[in-house]
Amino acid sequence: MSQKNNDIDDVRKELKKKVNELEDARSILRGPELRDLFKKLSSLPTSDRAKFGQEINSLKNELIGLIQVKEEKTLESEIITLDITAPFSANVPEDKKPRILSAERGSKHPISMELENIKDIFVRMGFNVEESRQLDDDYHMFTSLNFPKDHPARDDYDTFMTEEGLILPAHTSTMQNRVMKKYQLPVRVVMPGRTFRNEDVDTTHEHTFHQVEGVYVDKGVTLGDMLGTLVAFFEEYFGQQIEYKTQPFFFPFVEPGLEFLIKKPEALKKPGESESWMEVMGCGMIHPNVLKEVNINPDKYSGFAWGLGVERMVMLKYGIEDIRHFMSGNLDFLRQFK
Amino acid sequence: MKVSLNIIKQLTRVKLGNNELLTRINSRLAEVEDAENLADKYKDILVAEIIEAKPHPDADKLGVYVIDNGIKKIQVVAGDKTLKVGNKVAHIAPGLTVPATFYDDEPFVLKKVKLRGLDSNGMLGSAKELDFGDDHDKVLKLDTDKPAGTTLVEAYELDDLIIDIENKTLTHRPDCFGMIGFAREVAGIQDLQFTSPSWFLETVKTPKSNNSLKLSVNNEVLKVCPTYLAVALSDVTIKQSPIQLMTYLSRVGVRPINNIVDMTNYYMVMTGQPMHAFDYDKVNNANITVRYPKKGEKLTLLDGKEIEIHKKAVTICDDKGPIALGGVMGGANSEINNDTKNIVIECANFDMYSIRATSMKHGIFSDAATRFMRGQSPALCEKVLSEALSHPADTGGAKVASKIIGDSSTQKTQEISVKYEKINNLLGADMASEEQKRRLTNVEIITSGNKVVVPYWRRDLNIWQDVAEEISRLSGYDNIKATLPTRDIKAVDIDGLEVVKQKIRSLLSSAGANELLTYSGVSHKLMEKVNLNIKPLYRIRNSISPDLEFMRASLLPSLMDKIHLNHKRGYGEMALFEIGKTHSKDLIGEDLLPVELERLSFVFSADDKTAVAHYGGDAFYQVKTYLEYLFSSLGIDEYNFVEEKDVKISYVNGLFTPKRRAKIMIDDNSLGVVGEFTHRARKGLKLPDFSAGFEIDLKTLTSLRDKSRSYYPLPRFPGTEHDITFETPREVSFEQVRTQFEKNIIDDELIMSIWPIDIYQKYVDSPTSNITLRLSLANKEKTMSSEEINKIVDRAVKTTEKKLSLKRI
Repeated sequence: MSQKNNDIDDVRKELKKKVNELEDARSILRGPELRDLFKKLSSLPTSDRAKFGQEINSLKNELIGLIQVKEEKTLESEIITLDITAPFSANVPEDKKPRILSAERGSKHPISMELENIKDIFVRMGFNVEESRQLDDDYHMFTSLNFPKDHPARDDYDTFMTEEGLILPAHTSTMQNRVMKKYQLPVRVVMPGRTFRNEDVDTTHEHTFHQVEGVYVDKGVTLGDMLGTLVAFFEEYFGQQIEYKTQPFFFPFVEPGLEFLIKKPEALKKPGESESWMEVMGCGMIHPNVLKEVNINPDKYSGFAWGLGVERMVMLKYGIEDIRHFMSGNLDFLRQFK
Repeated sequence: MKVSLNIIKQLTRVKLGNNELLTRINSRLAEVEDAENLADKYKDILVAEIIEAKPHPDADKLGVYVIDNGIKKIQVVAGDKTLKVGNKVAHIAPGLTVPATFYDDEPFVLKKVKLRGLDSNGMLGSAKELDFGDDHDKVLKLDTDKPAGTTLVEAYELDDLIIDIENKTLTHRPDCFGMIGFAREVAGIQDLQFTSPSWFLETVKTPKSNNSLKLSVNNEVLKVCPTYLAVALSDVTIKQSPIQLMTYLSRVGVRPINNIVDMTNYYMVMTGQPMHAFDYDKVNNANITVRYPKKGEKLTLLDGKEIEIHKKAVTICDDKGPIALGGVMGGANSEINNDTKNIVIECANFDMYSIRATSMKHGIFSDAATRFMRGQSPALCEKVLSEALSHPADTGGAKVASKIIGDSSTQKTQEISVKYEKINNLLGADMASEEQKRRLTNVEIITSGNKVVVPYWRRDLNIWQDVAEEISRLSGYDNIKATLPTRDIKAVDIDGLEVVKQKIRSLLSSAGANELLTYSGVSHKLMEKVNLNIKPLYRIRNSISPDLEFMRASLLPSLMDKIHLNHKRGYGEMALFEIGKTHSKDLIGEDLLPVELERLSFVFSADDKTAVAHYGGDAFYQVKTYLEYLFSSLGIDEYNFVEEKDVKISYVNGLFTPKRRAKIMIDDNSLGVVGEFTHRARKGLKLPDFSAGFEIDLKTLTSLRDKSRSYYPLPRFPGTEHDITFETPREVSFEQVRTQFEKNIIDDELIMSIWPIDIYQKYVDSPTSNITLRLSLANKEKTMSSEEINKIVDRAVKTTEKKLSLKRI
């Protein structure tokens, strides 16, 4: 066996040298050295073949890697250095000089466009804007939101996690604790951001999506105020009166906790389309434990919070049929949004 | 979780129609995922009586029967020879659907067939075919008193509404995982008073024991198993349960097994309290120990799977070792079967956190675990076990053969002090305290003055806000008026970064560029293709796909990855950009979290055909043009493009070919990198030669933006324009020429601007190039004579020539 290894080691040394020396390094892959090794393979006892075969292959892959690096080097060396301070290349005729493309080809992503729209409405309503993080810790994802350690309610969020234990937020509520600390009372902040759930992707599900969180804390804030604020937002967003309803839901960080549904606005319905209700957000009165965590006295102050799902609203607004279009990078889709 | 409306109706009045009830449940209790009318799947199936029975002449296993189904007497061939005249069976006539397949994609609709030569009119249903149980070997003999011709629906109360509830909406409500608890809420949301069965409220006396079997229990883990009760029963007959019970279980999704297991499961369905039955004679020494497992202890579960028990899992053991995974699943070694004579019934409470950990570690989510995970009350154990023992018929006539062994933990009654006015203030409601109290009393929450007594089964009520939720939910959130909060008129602070992002989006989209959003995760393969290091990237340990394995430290590769597919779709040229966050292990903030950089990435690409037709030079300048357009539109006038040899300086440097790469500087701040991509990256991602990109940091850009706005008064006197061409050696850059020339013109009295007109090179490797600049010049105070102008220009040209060794031509 050691004899065979020596064979390979010798060939390796020889061929590595050749990679450096030969102009057409790739030719050694078809050369006699490797061919001889393969020939030897068939003469070996069956029991030794597998291992020897693997060794030849790993040698071959090593050589391919070296050849690629060399080829790239050669190609890079052929590149002509540019004067990076110049405005254009030498000898370019006027009509081929660099220029920006015509405006009608441009587009904004529908999600960021609608996020701008949503933020704008809330800013006009008196809310600050604070973008949410994309890598966060367990404290902000769960503990600060009244999820005790190991609480089964954590299982309702299929979170992605890094090897270090950092969490890709499954909701923008991760920002609640931060903004209630950062801003003076009364706190009015919306927090748009990217959220992640470990979920299989289909026409209506994405593992990456967007939410707009909101919190409002002040003296005497009521559940009725929450409903009024949300209705005011949706009516502004859709530019018409909306019908809404609520359903009880359990989120550890609100009490009472609700799901908020709106009836599909008339203007967005196709002729003859029957009425339908859409869950657009979870919401509720901020749990006293969440307020205590930021040293706000829940006996004096109350507040509400919500988490609005953006994709669904945008799909509703434009009649987009497949949620996967958003992250596809497909210009056929993107260029429709000006 | 499935709820049977018939069972609910045994416990409370339901005054709403089905549709109204479902709407009410949705708006005041829990999310209804689905609802089905159970009767649909049994439509027209009739109780029939066997009036003639004989074996099939040509088949060993078939029986030939004439049945009377109340309509007519007809022949049916069945795969069961054991039926006798007088037996009652369920007749599924030709044209009807086999109930078990009713919701399948292709339901099995019966036809009149010949079986080994004999006519068979439909089928006599087995438990499995009727969806009552698992037995598929024999025809289910019906135990009904009803005559032949009765519908199966009538015989077994199958006219039922089965409501499927989204479990997540009841995560905090252990009580609602039992029909009694659910029924209590159904009463509450209709404003009806609910009364629990008396045994649920009080402890029923335990039936006398004949003490014929010894049994002992040692609970060593009281913290995670606060109550463990066990009782031995003798003279057990294991048989099939009454069919009515089987249907109650099967309609809510619990598989009927035998009379003992079904009895324990029935109580679980009703109360949320799981129980488990062991074969007494398989419990070594009749001594049960509740403990953590010893290292390496294994157990084969009822489902046949062998596990090495997790060290924190509550383990039920006999003197030989584990016999059950507490609160999750029983062991095969103590399973009851048809030969079982004596049993032990366990009724215990397990800590929800512990059960969750065990479930997760072993990947077992049994009916019992689902209920314990919600945190059942330990006080249930004694009541449920006593009640079960007081119905000997349910246990196949078994005799109680031991005392109830084990200690119940006592649960302190919790009281919450409540101010009803405060509840109104929180809700924005105006509800009389009498009504508030009635809503609570309806669901057996006792109120007295300002105190609310929390029933033992409600472990979710701890603070007055929880009571507020209860009242507002039961009375209907739809009754709360939407109001707008009053607020001050203080202007909202606008975040500069946010403004910059919005501006960039507008600017670039008006410049024909397309905004993309791409995933925050990238694959190892992509990083290899573009030759970027994965070392600083955070790896996602439970990524659903290798495509999203690493959190990206640059947006550029994700954008570059979208170029080829769009060229393929027929787009000859494109400018793509994305604004987003990046992360790197090398940058940790004061809060010990990764610093999130806000980036703008941009790529431009033209396929070969388009590049030849419309672009004469190098892609680098095309991208640089976009960058300069952005800078000037954002009010940034002072910036430089600087060579950067050190690849390590910026993470993205490695993407760009060193000879066509520049660092973007504003004052001393590095903003990012612009360049053409390496050959390797272009090849790996199938990018055309004419492709380039940049990535810049938007926080830096925002911080530098405000400082550099300036204004030049408009010239009042006419100016002139001059084109000047310098023959420039290779070593001198365009920028050197321009700045040097500009420096020599600048004068407080002058208004001037310089822009490039042309760069000419005789051939590719020429040692010199001719740079032509256009100078526009005016004086603030007067109209200049041509002599004055020539003097200024000539002086500037001369100095420039001298300083940079140029030659004007």
